[in-house]
Amino acid sequence: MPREENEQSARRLLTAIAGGDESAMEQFYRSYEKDVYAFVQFRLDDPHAAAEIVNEAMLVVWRTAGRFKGGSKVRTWLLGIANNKVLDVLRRRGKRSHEELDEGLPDASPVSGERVVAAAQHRRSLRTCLKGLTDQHRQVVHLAFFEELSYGEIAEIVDCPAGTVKTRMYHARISLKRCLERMGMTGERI
Amino acid sequence: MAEDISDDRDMEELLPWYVNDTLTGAEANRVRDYLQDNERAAADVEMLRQVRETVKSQDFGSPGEFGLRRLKSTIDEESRKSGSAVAAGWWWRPAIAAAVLVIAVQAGLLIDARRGGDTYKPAGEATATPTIQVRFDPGATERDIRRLLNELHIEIVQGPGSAGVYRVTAIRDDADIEQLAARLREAGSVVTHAEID
Repeated sequence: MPREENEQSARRLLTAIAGGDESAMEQFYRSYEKDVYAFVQFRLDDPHAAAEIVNEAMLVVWRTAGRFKGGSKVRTWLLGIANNKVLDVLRRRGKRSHEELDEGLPDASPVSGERVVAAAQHRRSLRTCLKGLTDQHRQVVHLAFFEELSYGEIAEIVDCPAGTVKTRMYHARISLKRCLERMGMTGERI
Repeated sequence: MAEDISDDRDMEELLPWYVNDTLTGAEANRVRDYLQDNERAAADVEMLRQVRETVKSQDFGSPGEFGLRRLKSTIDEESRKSGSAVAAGWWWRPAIAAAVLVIAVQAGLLIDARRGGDTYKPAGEATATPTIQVRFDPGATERDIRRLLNELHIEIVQGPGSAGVYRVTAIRDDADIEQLAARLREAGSVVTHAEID
C-alpha cells in the first residue's frame, strides 16, 4: 500500500481507537508492533525490554489516541513515543545515549574507500560495527535505513533540529568506517 | 575556500538520505553532481548502501499475538481499576473467563491435594523449586487446563501476574523441568507460552 494511503488508514484507526474501538486497536497493533519492536531492539539489544516498550507504547496509543492532532505522521508519532521509552530505560540503566565522539572531529582518517566497501560487504563485520555504535548513532541509522525516513521525519521523532540528525548520522558513518577499516586492516572476519 | 569546505560537509551529510531516497529533487541533483567529482564520497555511498541492506535484512522478530494478548490484558486490568464504563465493554470477557478458570483450577488443586493428603502449597507462595512461566490460551477451558496439569503432574504456585502469567512447578521431585516446559509448549491449544524461570 502506498505511504499516503497507509497514513490515511492509520489516522482512521486512531480516530476509531479514541472512540473505544477494540478491533481498531488490534489492527493498529498488528500494523506497527514489528516496527516499534525493531526500533527498540536495534537500540537496546534486549528482547525483554523491547517487548515491554512495545506494550507501553501501545498503551500510550490506547490512552491518548484522541489527542493526536495530525501535526506529524502516525508512524512518526508512535516511534517518538517509543524513543522516549528507550531513553527512559537508558536513564534507568545509567547509560548515556549521546555520543562520546568529538562533534567537531573531521573525517580525516586515512581510510581506503575500497577496503571499507570490501569490509562492509561482510555483513557479520558490519553488524558487529553497528552494535558498537552509541545509542544516538544506532537511533538515526535505524530510522534512516530500516524505516527509510527523511532527516526531517527523524528530527520529529528524536525531538531535535534536523541539523543535529544529519550531524549524528555523519559521525555514525565515521565510526562505522573506522570500525570496518580496523577489521579490514587486521584481516578480521567474524 | 571556507565556503567550499562548508558545502562539502553539507553534501556529505546528505549522503545517507540520498541512499534512502528521501531527498528533495533539488537536493538529490546536488548530491549527484558532488559524487561525480568525489571518489571517496562515492565509496561512502556504496558503504551506506551496504549498511542499509544489512539493517533492512535483520529479522528482529516481535512479540506478535502474545504481545497483543498481553496488551489486552493490561488494558482490561487498567479499565477495571478505573471502573471505566466504556472499558467494561472491552476485552473483559476473556479476562473474566481466565480469572474464573484460574480460581476453578486452583480450587480443584486444593481439593485434590486435601483428598490425597498431600502437602498443599497455596498459589502465590514463593517456592525454591524450579518454576515455569506459563500463559494459558484465553480460549482454553478449566477442564483443558486441569487435564494438562494432572497429566504432567504440575501445579500452579503463583499468579496470575499483571500480564496473565502463572508460575507452575513439578509435583514430583524427580521431574525433568526442561522436559515439562517442552511438553507445555507442545500443548499449543491450552498453553501459549512456557518458559523456565
